[in-house]
Amino acid sequence: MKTNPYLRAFLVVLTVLLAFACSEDYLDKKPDKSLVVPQTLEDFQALLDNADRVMNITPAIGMIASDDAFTTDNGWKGLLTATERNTYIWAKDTYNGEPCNDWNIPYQQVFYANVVLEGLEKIAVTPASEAQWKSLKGSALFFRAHALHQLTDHFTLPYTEKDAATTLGIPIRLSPNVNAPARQATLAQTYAQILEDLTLSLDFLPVHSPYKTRPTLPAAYALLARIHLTMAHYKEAEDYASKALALNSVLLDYNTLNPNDFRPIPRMNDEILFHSQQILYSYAVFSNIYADTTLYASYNDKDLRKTMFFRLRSPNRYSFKGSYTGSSPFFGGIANDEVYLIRAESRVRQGNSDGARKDLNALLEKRWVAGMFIPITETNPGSLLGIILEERQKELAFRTSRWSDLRRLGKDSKFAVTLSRVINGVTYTLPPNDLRYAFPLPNQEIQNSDVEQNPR
Amino acid sequence: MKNLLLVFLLFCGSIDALCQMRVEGRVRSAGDRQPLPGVNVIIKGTTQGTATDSDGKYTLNVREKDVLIFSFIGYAAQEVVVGTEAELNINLVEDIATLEEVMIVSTGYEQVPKERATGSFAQIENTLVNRRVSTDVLSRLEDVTSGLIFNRNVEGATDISIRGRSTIFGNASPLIVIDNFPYDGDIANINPNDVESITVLKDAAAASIWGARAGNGVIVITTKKGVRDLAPHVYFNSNVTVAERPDMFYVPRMSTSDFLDVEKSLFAKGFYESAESSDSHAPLTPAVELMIAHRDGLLDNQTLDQRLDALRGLDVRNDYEKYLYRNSTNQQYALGIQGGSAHNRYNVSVGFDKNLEGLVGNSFNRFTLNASNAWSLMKDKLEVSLGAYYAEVRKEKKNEGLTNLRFDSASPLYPYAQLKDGAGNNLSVVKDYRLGFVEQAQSDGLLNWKYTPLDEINYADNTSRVNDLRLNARLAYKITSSLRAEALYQYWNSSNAMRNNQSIDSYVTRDQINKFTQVDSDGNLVRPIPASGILDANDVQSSSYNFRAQLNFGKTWDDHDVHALGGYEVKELNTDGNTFRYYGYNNGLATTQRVDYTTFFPLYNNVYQYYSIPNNDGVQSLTDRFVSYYGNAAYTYKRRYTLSASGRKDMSNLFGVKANQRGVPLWSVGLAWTATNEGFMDTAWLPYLKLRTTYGYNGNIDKSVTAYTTAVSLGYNSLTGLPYSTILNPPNPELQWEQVRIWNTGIDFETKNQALSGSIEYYTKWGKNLIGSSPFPPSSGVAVFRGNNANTRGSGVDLVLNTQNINRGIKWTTNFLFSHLTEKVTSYKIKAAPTNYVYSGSGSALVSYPLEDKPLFAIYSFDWAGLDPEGNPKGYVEGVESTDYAAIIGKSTPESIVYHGSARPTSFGSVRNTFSWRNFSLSVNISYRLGYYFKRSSVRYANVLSGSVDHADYGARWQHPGDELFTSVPSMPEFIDINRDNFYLNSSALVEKGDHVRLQDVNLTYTLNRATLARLPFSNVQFYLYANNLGILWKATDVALDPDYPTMKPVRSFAAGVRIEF
Repeated sequence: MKTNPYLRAFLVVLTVLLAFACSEDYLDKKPDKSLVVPQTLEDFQALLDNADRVMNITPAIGMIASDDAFTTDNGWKGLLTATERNTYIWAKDTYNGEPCNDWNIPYQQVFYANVVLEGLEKIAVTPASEAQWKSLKGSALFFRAHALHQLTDHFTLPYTEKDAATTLGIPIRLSPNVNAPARQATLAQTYAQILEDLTLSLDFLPVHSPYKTRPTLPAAYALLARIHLTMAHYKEAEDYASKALALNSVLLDYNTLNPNDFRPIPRMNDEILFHSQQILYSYAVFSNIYADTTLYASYNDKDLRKTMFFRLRSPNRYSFKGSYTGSSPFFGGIANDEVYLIRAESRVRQGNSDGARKDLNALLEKRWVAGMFIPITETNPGSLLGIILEERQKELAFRTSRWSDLRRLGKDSKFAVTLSRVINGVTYTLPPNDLRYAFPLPNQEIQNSDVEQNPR
Repeated sequence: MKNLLLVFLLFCGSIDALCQMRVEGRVRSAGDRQPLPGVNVIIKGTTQGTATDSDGKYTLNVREKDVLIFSFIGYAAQEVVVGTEAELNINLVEDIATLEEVMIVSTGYEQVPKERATGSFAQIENTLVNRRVSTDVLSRLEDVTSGLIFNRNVEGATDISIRGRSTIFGNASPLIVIDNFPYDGDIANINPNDVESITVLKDAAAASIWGARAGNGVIVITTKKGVRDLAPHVYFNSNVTVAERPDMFYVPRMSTSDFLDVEKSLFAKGFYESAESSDSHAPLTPAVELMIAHRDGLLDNQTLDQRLDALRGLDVRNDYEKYLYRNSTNQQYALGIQGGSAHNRYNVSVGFDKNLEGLVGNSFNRFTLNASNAWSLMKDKLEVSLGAYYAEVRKEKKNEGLTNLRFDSASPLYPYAQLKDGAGNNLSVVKDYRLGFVEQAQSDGLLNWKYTPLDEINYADNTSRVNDLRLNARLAYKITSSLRAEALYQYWNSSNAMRNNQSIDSYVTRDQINKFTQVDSDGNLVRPIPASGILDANDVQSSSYNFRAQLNFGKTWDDHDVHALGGYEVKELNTDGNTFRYYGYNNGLATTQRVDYTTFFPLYNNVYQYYSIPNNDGVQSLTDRFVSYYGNAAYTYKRRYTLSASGRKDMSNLFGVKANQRGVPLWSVGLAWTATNEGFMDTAWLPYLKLRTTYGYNGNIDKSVTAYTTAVSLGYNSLTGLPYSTILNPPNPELQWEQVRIWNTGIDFETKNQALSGSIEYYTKWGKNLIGSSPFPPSSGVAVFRGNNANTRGSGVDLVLNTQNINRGIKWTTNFLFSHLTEKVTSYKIKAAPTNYVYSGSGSALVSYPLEDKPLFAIYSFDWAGLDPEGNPKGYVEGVESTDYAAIIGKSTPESIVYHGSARPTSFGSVRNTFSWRNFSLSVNISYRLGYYFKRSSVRYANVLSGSVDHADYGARWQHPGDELFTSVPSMPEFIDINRDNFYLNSSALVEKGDHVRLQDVNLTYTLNRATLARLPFSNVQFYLYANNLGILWKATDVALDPDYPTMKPVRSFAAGVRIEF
């Protein structure tokens, strides 16, 4: 067959088209521009900056179970989730089949941190990128430690030196491999991991960040101080608190705030070291959730916190409006006021009453009406400790600290309290050191892994 | 070649007696003048013969006076004596008994005579496509296609499955091919009047040519084309369809009186105190407001009772039916012309659809233009075809129906709401805030904050406009008589512009402006959102190109017939979308105003909550790319034995996988034996019998899973203003493509005079490496993990029987379709908690959890032990009756839960009887669905105790001791008990059999043609009446619900139309 010129042209066009279309990278095109396989420092930064959905969220059931607030029979009935109603009366079964974000979200933070930590190992550090690489490494370690610590504060029994090695801890995951079986560590191992992460993060974190949602060196020192306090390591708690305050000791002067504002405490204010907010339950929003009456009564009339933190809802009923988030969700992060209080407590517990008083007065001076504050002069260490613990409750109200304090102070007969609540005529109590200080693990965890349920 | 012919002719001229001559010609269908490929042309009394080619042409050496038999299934055979003419064009007449059995099937790559096919095809030819009256194409497949079913237990979108489901989370829709290429647009853009025929490809051999996208079956739609040597032929079709209003009382709801009693008891318990004092000014129903006024001493007892009793008589569902809905009317017009000359064929048609939908104010308008032209050049060696298809769809959505008619955003509107007063004025209803707050706000200078549902319909200006253009070009060149090269190209472009102009009158806009209104220190109102309209817009631009280069080989010699094709294909689909919102929009001037997106403002309706103004802007950019190689060959020996094979490799730009995971090779083989072409068979009573079997692989693609950790960027975080992203998939290095292996065996048969014809097919499908979800321990960081963790096996039978019962003055034919299908999951790597099966095993939710050895979609329940003497529902904990609901649910095991059966019909089909007498033809289709279960709804006390109106079973609840003997509806508990609700609502007490038979539709046609009425100005006129969704004839359950439509009864519709051919 002689080649027809049309055919030849046709075949040529065909060949050209084939050759064009087959080029190697034709199939490398991303199916969706917004997709990314996280590989660069920017990709990892974007993951850790997922603030309001994942990374800067803190459990809230501890706050609901603590004595900062109370509600009425109707308020209790109206709570939107069974989790809240059960938590409020310290019921044995907490979730009633509902998903448990208090457990899931911190573990999501651990997962994100692990993705970043693994990814960072594959990136060659250049002088230009070193600062960012280090900040990401430190941040991921910080986030992992913070999440694990929040989990231990809710899902394990309180830490004691004596029992930690035999107390049930929580699953520790150090790799992003979701198929790796969960290994439930002892409480001692869990705390060791948290401290190891945080101590390592100190080598990498920057001193400042323009964003309160990103971890910094003072935030890591403050978190170390907080964790050592829960472990009753007062020397370490004091040291880390001092290191934190050496870098950042700013306190808000409440005299500069307007008590008539709907939310007098501004969001992302200078006192905050690390911003995080508690999971938003109806307990934080509903109108018939009131501040504990004893708590409210404990503020002096010259104490600005009385007007900055509370508003009258109905006769003798006050609602909390002083969240450091500047909106409805309760604050779950770390601020300098807490660091001052940690150091004050650690100092007095080590016999340094002068130092403790100094810290306490430095804080309270900024909380009282200017010129009206009478500095605390108590010299008896036992009494001073009592004052400091009371100030902790007043200053850190509606944060995660009260639950943590109730757990650790249960061991100390001087400060241990039995909580009680009456709903529909039934009295519920939570004695110190009760097994219910450890929330049950959610069903989805128990059913899909080999971890052991907390006895309640 | 021509010279050779000349020699022949000379030769013929000289020796007359033994004259061997050559005849050629074309065989067409007498009805639509389409050329018929694959027609057998046999010299009577010999085994010599040929078959027509793809243009319906044939050439054969004959002697004068030979008799040629032209036979083709679906058509009456015709015998013609060879005269002296060298050209013999034949028109075969369709045989009424086997109307849908047109024997050409289209795979989208080639036209295959069914006789030669080994695979499983279902062909819906033009008459059957036109039997239903509808705006869309796909519904015309329902109940006339063997093995194909519309799944009704999936809320929302149309869900079609062909021979069951072959994927769990991948794309479950069949591939839709229009004119050789997959169609990427909305199938609603296609005018059914432009459709010539539809072929459904069901097994591996039929569909594997579509490779990795064929796993769910393929629907090949062929549009009308021109015909060579045909005088211009004009056709016209018009019809009007009117449908009923939907029945708002279909799903039983609590009576107004019961609801008021619930509100009274909740009020007495102080339930509304929290809302009454809420910062958010939560809404309270008019009845609760009356009770508050009474409590506060503003109403005396008598007035309260009077006012409440007045509400008892109201039912908002009457207002819904009266004012929100109307009878929908759909008008359809289509006009076309087709024809051709010796070197050209063309078809041009236009269509217009105007639908006034059932929701007052909503409409759908579609204009379509379809033009195709083909030229034969270079002595028929080169064919050039061009086609252009344009559709413009304009939708107006002024009425959201019940979607926005919510109370406090989550509950249905209170049942005694009124949309109009006695004087015909539109009334407002309480929606998001308390009435007192709304009225106070207005007197304080805020915009009117009331919600008046019927006014909203008038204020709405919400339209979307789609412009859809498809351009096709095809070049085919005959290199030799048996080898043809083809190149095809398609460009498609579609733009969808949505504009929701929410004027200052609309509630959405007034609400947004009011919410963000601030009161400054001097008491002045400041509006961060300007007091003007809000324009929401969404533009999506999609375009794709497809290119295909293909070589076709076809040769028939002696006893051999070989057809083969091979080719290369490349495709790219781009979708670019952007969503934006303009505040302060002035529609008159088309101006907008800036707003502050960064400041957190306290909301006017809840000053303790701080929000920034919502920014709805977003951009999306998607690209799909495919590169494929494919080949297909069939060899037939002595027109008895056919062996076919095909192979294909697809590669796609899958994201986050290794390069070698981007492609998948798939193949199939097939065998067919036409027994009746064997010499030894007595073919008098059984003129046609064919056995065939195929085996092979189809694939499916799930672009949502990736092998590497994948994150999706979410833009800028409202908390920090920083870019942020979220992890979509955890890493999954073992990821593979989903594959479906299919073995299909079938028999095609036809008895004498087509008294009985049809096919029986048996198939088995094995789904391998299907992507499935497994619940994971949340400590892993993911709650649900998707990976290749499921294998499935399904087997079934498709039976098609066509009988010609009476064939005299009255003709009566029956078309019987039966499909039976059993599917089960053979392995599912990870076990879910038993509650997951019970709650979401049916597949009606997004996530479904299959259990090994059970169907993919199944109904499970908690075993029911009746009500106890206090009206509490009883279940079992470890075999012992119990009312400990946490334990009943928590301690259930896969063995203790009750498995009822499939959630989707395991047997289904239809019986279509067609009667014709003189010019009348009546076709009645009865469809049936058997062997499945559904869970009916009942009262959820958590809703009732939250002050929300719920199911009518509330009225039948246990109230007094002894009631447990008559009712299975539990008593109302004192407090919300989610576990108790979940146990009851998922107990065996509520599981019903879904089996039913329904009278789907009736079509009555009256036809006049010039053959019977010479003075008719047209060649053919048809008047038709069509009624759809006529109702259920029988169902297994006593519950007054249509098992296929548990939430909304399908509306009956009636259509009348005329079809004219000039």
